[in-house]
This record gives sequence, structure tokens and C-alpha cells, in this order.
Amino acid sequence: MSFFDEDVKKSIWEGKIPIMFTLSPNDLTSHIPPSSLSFVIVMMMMMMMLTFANQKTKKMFVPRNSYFPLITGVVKDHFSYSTLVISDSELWLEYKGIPLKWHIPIGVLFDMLVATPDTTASQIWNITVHFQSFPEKVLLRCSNEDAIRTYYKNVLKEANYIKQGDINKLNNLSINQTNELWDGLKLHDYEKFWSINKMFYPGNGYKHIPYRIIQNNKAPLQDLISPINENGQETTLESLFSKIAFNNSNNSSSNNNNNNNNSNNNSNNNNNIDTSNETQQSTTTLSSSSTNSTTLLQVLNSGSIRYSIQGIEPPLNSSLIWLGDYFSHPDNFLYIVLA
Amino acid sequence: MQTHLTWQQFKLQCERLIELVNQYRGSGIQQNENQDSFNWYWLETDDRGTGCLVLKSIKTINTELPQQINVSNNKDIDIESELEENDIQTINSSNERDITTSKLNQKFVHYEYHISFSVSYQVPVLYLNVYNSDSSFIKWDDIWNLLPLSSYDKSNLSSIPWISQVDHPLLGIPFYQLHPCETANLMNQVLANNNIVDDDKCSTTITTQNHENDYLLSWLSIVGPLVGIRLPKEILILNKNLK
Repeated sequence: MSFFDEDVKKSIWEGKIPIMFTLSPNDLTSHIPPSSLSFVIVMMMMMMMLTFANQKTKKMFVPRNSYFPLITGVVKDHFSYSTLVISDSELWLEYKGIPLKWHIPIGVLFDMLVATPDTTASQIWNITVHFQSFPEKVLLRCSNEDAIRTYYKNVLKEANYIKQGDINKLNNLSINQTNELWDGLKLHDYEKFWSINKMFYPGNGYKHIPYRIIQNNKAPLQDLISPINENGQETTLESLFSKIAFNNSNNSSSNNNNNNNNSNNNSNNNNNIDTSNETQQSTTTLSSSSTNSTTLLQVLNSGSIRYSIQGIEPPLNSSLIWLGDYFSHPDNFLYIVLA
Repeated sequence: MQTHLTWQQFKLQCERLIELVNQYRGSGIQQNENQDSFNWYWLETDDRGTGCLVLKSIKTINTELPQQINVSNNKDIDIESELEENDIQTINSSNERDITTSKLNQKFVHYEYHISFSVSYQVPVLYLNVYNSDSSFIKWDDIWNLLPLSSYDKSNLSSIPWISQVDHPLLGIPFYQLHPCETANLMNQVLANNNIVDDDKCSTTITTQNHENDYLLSWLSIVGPLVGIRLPKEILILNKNLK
């Protein structure tokens, strides 16, 4: 199959998730002005709340291959009548007590936190929208479009460095091309985005394949993997998994609890300064060295966890080059989600 | 000439740095210096030896000069002369009453530095967070003003590494990162210069080997002072003697 097989690329690009955004009850009620002379304002607020009661939620189809800050402008506008707190406060999202990391592609978050083997295409992802108590110990700040643009550019640089050993292709883009790439991502415009992004795919010229294995909202695992194995054949998903030592002792439910605790602590800003030790325990399951311990492949074969890429489970004998070409996210990383 | 590190080299050089710093602290060279400015340790993040180098130190700042947050004349900070000049100017321009009250309003700031290994770039990467005493984050604009780097930035924007907030690669929580994409180029120049000097002295491959061992220390001696990490020259001398 040729790389320029538009259909595969396009169907991956067009993957969407139905999401229901609901304004946090805290943000709806907690900003009634405290003093008694604000009676009129309180009355106005109550009228507004009645009028716009149906605007406490917003349903949208959201692209998998995008980032939340690029689509939440609409959400913010939608809720602007239902809350008084949003003027310049930072919007953040939460699902079942877990603050959503905006810098991870939306589809990866969905596969990691929501999707199960029984997930159907019509399953709605219920997300709570907050405008207060930003969990600064868990989420990166994203005060404007520049923040997400800088972040995206840095990850794209990293992926290209892994692929080519330098970032010349990126550095050689003209300002127009850089803007075209960004606008393509921001507006979710396939033609625009891929007119530039295709330059980052060297075909057979990969040094390494940029991949990230991610589980339970923890730091992703990544390492350098050659696209061609020692026998001169293309490296497969199976051989990648067989090289990764994996300890599945922390099961997913206990990790989710950890995350809940984190977010609660963070709203109060009462965390211990020693954040490194706090999270140390929950970051220990993934490692890149393979010695005598269990490999990821063995764990996958035992059936206790599953992997998915762009929401589907490609066969274990899929070539990493092929997956990298077709299944990478806009930041050029291939995200493999374990759940 | 080496522009990158492997994970094994990185870990060995981290251990060496800890050893050097401990020697320095035990040598009694540092007089009146804040002990925790040198309290580097290895933070293991899994049972297979993965981890990063960590330094936590507490500094005092003056809360009365919000425009140019004034790092007080605390000995544990290696302030370049340029910054010191700025400080003096700021103090001169404020009136006497301000100086008196500001002395009463010193607050403690908690710095946490991590040096982690970037698998992608095969170089060391510096991360930092700065907290108030109640463990809340200090706002980025205020952190920026606390960093010696901000005084260089005024004159020479292009040559500095870019700092942005990212998830810590091992801990998965927000940290400010000095972006690593130029580190290999920087080290290429630094270590190339060293090689030229050594070639003049007709030195052999053993010297090149030594440079490989100096990678982390050389890098930290350039990047560290930009973000307030103190690396006394005595440590570099100890490093030479250790060979």
C-alpha cells in the first residue's frame, strides 16, 4: 500500500468522538456576590440561570486528532450566560474526577480513560467543564493559543528528531508553511494540514519510529526503536511489545483513585511540596529495559490488558513504519494506549 | 567529540556529580554557604533503576519589589555581575522606606530542579518548579524574573534555550523545561573547543574519553547558572583531580 493512499489517512483524520460538556455545578452557583446590596444582581443571575438552564450542557462531535483547547472556545462561549466566573479564567475539563490533560490528543485521552471493549461508536463522553480551582499540580497552564501552539511545535520537533536525527525539515519550513500546518490543525482542515505534514514522512528513511505507550494517565513510555530489525525485516508491533518490560501490578482502578486524590488536593493547593515522592509510586509500571521480567507482549497475550491505536486494535504483525505513516497523530507520534 | 549521551553514560555521570558534590561539601571549602544548594540526589522512579537527578533548595526573595523581584544578597545564589548591577539600580531608585520594609518582607521560595535523560534527544534535560512556602506554584512571570536567565534575555534573546511547561517525563506532572533540541549543538561546540586545546598538547584518546565523562558537568556548568543552580568552580577542580 502506498503512503499516499488518501483513504486510510483521511479516515483516521476524520475520526470523531461525541462529547457532552456539562458546566460544573460549582461554577454555576458559587459566584453569587456575597454582600446584601447585590440583591439585584442575584435576581438577575437567577433569571439568567432559569433562562439558560438548557445551556448547562453542550453536545459536540470532536475530532480525535486534535487538542481540547482548539475546540473549547465554542464551549466557553456556550456557557458564558450560565456562569459569571469565566471572563478571563482558565477553562479546564474533568472526567470522573480526573482533570484532562489538554496537551494529549483528544482521541488518546478517550481511548485511555473511557473506551472499553464494548464501546460503541455512539457512546457519549460526559465531560465536566470548570472555570475555577485550576488544578495547577496536575495540568499544564494553557492561557492562550500560543501555549498550545508552542507545545505542539515542541512535540513535533521531538518526533521529527526521532525520525530523522535532526529537525532540519521543520526548521526549513517558511513562515507561510508553518502557519498552514498550524491552521490545518486548528481548523481541522485535512488538505491544509497534510499539504505540509506529508513533508515529515520520509518513507523508507526513518532512523527510529516515534511512539508513545500510555496507560492510566501516567507519563508515557517511549524509547528509540529501529524500523528495521536485525534480520533486515520491518519491525512489527509484536517485536516492539516483546522488547518492553512490563509490570502490571498496579491495576487501573487503584491508579484512577490516585488521580482523584490528586485533583482534590490540588484544588485546595495543600499538596506537599515533595510532589516527586507523591507520584513516584504511580509511575513505576512502565520501563524500557527488558531483562528477566515480564514483557508487555506476555501481559497482552494473557488478556489482562488491551492495546489500541487511534481507537482500533491493529494486528500484532503490523509494521511500525506502516503504522507510523497512517496512524500517527498530528504531532507525528504513534500513540499506543493500554487499557 | 561527543554530542549525545547514552542512558548508561547519563546515569554514571549523575552518580559522579553526586560524588563530587559530596566531596565538596565534606571538604569545608564552602564557607557560610547554604548546604542545601548542593544537596543533589538520585530519585529512582521504578525498580529497574530509571530515575533522575534532583536538587531542592530554599532561597529568600524580597517581596517589596514586584517589578524586579530582587534576589536578596544570599550567598547561595550565583548571580552574574549583570544582574547585580540591575539589583543595585533597583535599590538605588527606591526610597529608603522601601528598603527598610522590604527587609521585613523577605519570603522563602522553594526551588526544585530535576535533571532527566531525554530518550528522544539523547541529552540531559533540565526541569524546574518554584513553589511558595504553602507549596502553591509561583506564577511563571514571577519565576522568570527570579531566574538569572531573564537578565540575559533582555540583551540576547535568540541564544537562550526556550523554557516552557511540560509534563515531567517520569513523574507526569507539570514542570518547566529548558527545551533540549539545541543541547547537542551546544555540547558539540563546547567539547569541540576542548578538543582543540587538547590537540595542541598532543594528548591522546584518553583525553577524549575524559571529555565524555565531563559531558554532564560541562553542560550543567553552562545551563545551571542561567536558572540559579550554583556550581562552584571548586567542584570542577575536584572533577579534574578525580581523573
